[in-house]
Amino acid sequence: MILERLEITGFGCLQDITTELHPRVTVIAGRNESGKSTLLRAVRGALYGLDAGGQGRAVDRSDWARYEPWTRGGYGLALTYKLDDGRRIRVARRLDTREQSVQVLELGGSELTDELRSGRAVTPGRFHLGIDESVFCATAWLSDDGLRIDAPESARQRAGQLQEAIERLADTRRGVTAAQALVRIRDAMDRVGSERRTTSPLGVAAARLRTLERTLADARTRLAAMAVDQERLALLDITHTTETHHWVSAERARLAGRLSEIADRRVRLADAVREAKIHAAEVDATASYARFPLDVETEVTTLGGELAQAKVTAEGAASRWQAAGERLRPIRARRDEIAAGVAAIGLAEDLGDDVGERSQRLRGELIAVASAARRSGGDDAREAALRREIAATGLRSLPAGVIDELLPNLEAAQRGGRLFGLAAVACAAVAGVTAVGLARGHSTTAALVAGVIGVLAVAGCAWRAWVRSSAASRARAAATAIALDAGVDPAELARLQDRLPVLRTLHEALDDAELRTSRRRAEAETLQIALASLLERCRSLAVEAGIVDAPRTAEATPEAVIAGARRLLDRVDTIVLKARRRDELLAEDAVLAAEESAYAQSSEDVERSVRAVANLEIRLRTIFKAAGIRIPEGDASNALTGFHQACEARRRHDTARRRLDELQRATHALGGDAATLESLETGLAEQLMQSGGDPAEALAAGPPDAGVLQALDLEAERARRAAASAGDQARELRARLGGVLDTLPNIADLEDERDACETARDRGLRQLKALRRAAELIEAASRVTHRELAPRLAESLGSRLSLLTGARYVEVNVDTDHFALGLLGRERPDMVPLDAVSHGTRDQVALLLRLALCEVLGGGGERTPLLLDEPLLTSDPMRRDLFIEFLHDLSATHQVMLSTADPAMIEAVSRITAGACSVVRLEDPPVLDVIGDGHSLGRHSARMRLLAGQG
Amino acid sequence: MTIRLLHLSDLHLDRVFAAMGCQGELARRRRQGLRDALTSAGRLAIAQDCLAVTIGGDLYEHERAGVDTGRFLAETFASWQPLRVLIAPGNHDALLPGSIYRRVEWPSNVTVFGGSELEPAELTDGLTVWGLAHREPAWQGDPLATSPVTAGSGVHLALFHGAELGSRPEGKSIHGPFHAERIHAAGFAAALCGHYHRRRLDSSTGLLYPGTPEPLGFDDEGGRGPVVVEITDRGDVRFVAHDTNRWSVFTVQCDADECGTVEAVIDEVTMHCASTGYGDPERTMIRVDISGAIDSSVSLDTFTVELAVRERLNLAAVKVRDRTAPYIDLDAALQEESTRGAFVRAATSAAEDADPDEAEVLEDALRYGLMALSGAEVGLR
Repeated sequence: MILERLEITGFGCLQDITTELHPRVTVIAGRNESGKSTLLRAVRGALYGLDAGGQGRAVDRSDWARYEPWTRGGYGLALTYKLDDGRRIRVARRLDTREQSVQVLELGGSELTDELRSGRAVTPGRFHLGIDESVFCATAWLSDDGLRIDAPESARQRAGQLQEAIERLADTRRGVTAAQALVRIRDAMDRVGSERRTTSPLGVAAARLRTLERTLADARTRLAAMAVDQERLALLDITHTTETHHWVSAERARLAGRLSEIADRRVRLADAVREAKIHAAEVDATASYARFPLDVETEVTTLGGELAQAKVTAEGAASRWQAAGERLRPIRARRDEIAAGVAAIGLAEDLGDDVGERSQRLRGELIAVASAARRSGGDDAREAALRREIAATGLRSLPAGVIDELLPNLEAAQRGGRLFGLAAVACAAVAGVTAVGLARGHSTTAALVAGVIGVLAVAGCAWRAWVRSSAASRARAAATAIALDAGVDPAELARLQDRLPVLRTLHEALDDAELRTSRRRAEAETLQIALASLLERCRSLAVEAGIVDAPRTAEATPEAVIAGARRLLDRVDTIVLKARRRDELLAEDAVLAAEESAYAQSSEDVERSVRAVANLEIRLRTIFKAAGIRIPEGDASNALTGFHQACEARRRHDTARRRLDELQRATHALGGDAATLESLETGLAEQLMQSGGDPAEALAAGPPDAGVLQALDLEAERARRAAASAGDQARELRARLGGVLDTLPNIADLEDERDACETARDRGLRQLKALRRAAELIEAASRVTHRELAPRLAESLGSRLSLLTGARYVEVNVDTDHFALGLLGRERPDMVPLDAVSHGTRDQVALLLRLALCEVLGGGGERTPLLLDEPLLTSDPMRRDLFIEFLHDLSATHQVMLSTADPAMIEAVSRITAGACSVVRLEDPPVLDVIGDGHSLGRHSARMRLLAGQG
Repeated sequence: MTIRLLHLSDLHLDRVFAAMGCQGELARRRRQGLRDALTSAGRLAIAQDCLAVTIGGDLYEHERAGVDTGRFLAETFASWQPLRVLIAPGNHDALLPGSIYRRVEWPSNVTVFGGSELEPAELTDGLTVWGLAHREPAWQGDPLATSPVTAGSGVHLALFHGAELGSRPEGKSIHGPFHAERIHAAGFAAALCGHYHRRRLDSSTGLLYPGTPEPLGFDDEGGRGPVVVEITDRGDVRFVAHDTNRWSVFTVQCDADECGTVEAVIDEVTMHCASTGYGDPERTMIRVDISGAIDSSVSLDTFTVELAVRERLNLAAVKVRDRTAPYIDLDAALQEESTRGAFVRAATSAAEDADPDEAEVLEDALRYGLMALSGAEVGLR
């Protein structure tokens, strides 16, 4: 971009000024307060407009207010500039109002105002240079010593370090770096604090909130408990009222009952007094028996009873003894007879109890053996008879086995083919007759069929007859052979053929008889042995029964053995019978001996009864004597009667006295005297009436019994206690509630404070969250921006620095963290930090850095003109010349406008640039010096007036 | 002869006022103000020669009401004798176990309806008030579901706490829903209701919401107080509202676009508050919504503004809601090739995808970040 013309209608101290600008270097010259800086500000204002305040910024402190014209007149300006593509643009601003009407025209073209609008502002600089105003201020627009970007008086920044200045531009294009912004945010976070830091607002709120939550929970609990207590109090009040009513009712009932009972007692007292008089008379009448010893009555009565019983017993014993004497005589005679009988039997020893029984068993066995012996012998005769019958058949030599073989053959020989032969003849006859008959009836076919059938039947019968005849012939031959083998004549056999079945039956019977005979013989041997054993056992039994002469001879036959045994058993049975008789006699004697002994006991009973009677009489007399009662000798019964009468009198006396005592106690219990009871009754009646009761009604109801009365008392007392208890509890609870009420915190107050604390805590937490998020986002944004920007800055700066320093420095490094600069020169192999290079080089780097920033931040816009406001104010001539040379070189690519009040500076510029510049003198009248090529500056004529003096 | 009743509701004794920025002494004054509203309602009823006072629920707040509240109510109602007091418990003072209604010994002139269906209380010959109670806070029954009234038996009024669905304010909870059209259909000359905090007098349908006697939130602006219900001999019902509130609330909108400093904001807010025309400043609570774009270098702190304005105008409470936005050319910032530009891009991009809560955090983060990047002290919202 090349600035060509600036027209000022009114702007600060400048008015009606139009100046043409040199495409390379323009020097604005003038003394102090002549408007040099204002002119440069006007150029910036044309490109970016003037901030007029508002939206949070004070209007009166805005640039719009600051640069209002000093004199009446228009407030406006216009700037014409040329773009790299040759288009010429004119920006005209009317600044009379805050709204600042703007018009941007492409000379020879259309209006571009709306195209260059950003929001409400029209900023051609931003669109054509690619940088916003803040970047422009920080890079292209320098005030007096602003060549140093880190100068303390630079346009907007007040940074102390070049890197920091770059960082500010890169981060915010304004006054702070991202790191400083983060410090601000951390300051804010510190102001908020944390929940754990109890001295911070958030910590205080959180801690107080926790305390309040606990207090509130406690208060709620207490409030709930109090609500329960209050409900209980209400219930207690109701209970108290109910119980009080109940108590009054119960008391009324009790008084009524008591009144009725007192009235009743008064009546009963009178009755008791009357009865006491009667009993007092009885006491007086029996007074002489008052000390009669009643305590021995039981003993005397018992002894009297025992004595009477002993006398009866003694009399019974005497009578029994008298009867026993008559019975004893026959008993003793019978016992003598028994003794004689036993002696007559004469058995020395007792037989065993089972001798008789064993004798009977042996006798039974003997009978069985004898009958068995008799059964043997019959079978031999039968066997002989069978043999004889076999011999009578004439075929005695034919054994039974041969007969079994012969019989089937003989039967087969008898079955011949005769019957089938007869059948064949009959069939032939029938068939012939039938066939002839049919033939005569002209039934030839039927006759032929009948003939054929007849032939077939005849043939079949003939064949069967032949077969059976052949079999009979073979059986006959076999039978003949068997008979010959058995030594029997076949002719004889044929004759006796019919006897063969009988013979076979006889043989079978004979075999059976022989078998039984052999068995019987074995049994006879067994019987012989049994008989011997039986006889031996009979002998043993006889010896056991005391038969010492039992014969021990060997008997030849079973019958002899049986007879011997039978004799032994007979003798044993005789001995057994004797023993039984002796035992019967001895048993009878024992019974009689016991009877005799019992009768003898009756005599002892008589003696014992007499002794008992005597003893009892002695004890009775002893008791009487001990009690001080004297009784005549031998008159115990009469004494007992008198004793009982005296006892009775003593008892009546005691009863009367007891009753008298009871009546006296009852009288006391009833109230002592009638007057007291009457007074009591009157009092109760009055109380009853006071409690709403009716005495007459109570008296008419009759006295309640003691149980009811007690129940009434108890109920009245219970009701009184219940009423008192409910009242006491209610009073106590009321007092307690009263005390608690004073200490119960107000829930609503607590909740208000709790809610406020909660709000404060939530607000703090929300603030912290937002601040943390802001810090995170800024850190991330800073990292990204620095990483992108640093290499581009290094590239831009490096290329230009090499060119302008004659390749003294060939490379530049820019650190991505804080944009620290390092230069790589030909003279040193390593990177040189910026603070290690010369002052002049640093200035050059600073200026180039501005241009680099313009390029980088401008994003490919037009080349930015440099507006330098007295940049070399404090420089020495040598350094000034060096820098002017650098500016001159730089103006080949970037137009330069610089202001100065120093004539030497103007001279130096003219000299170094060799006239390739123009000088605008802000004097009265203003003068424009065109130095150098007049042709090229022909159109840069100017008419300038310094109006400062005119205002 | 015209019979008069005084109807009020939604007194909310023992309410907390932290949501209005009140705590401590101010909150206690507000609660005392609610009690004063009840006593003044009683005085008004006596002055208007009313036969009874009807209370349409939410007389107190159950979870905070203590012994003292019960005692206050019992003593206050006793002092109104022979004026009868009919109470229909609502959702905040539901007839729960442990409720004040159950544990306080009420004077004989007080009738607390206890059933969940309308039950009668005859005030005088030919005038019956039917009431019901919320026996649980979340009761959802229809108070006018049944028609217990016998036709031709005099004038019948319904007294209950319920939400008329045709006029429900947005966001208001529903307890005991009903329709105004059912009032006459159910045989009632009028329904004396409670629940809505805004007054509504509808003679055509017979619906009456007296609203809260004192403002309970910043939305409860304007005159407030009980309503006198007049019943003529012919059975006609008329509502006469009385503004008896001693506390007042206002909400003002303040544009701080032109303010370059916090002091300027305070001045602007003070001016707006003063322009409301409030009466007694010590019973005036103002909510200020500050809007507009404020330069990032202005550290706007709502506490500072509240305190300053309250002290300048001697107001009971000032509640400031900071709804300002940072002054920023967002389009330019989004295109800016700098850390600041990257930060704005990242924040706005994240906010686009964030849920509402996170978006709010990001909005604050953008605000704080821009403040910090502008070099100003970060003013916290």
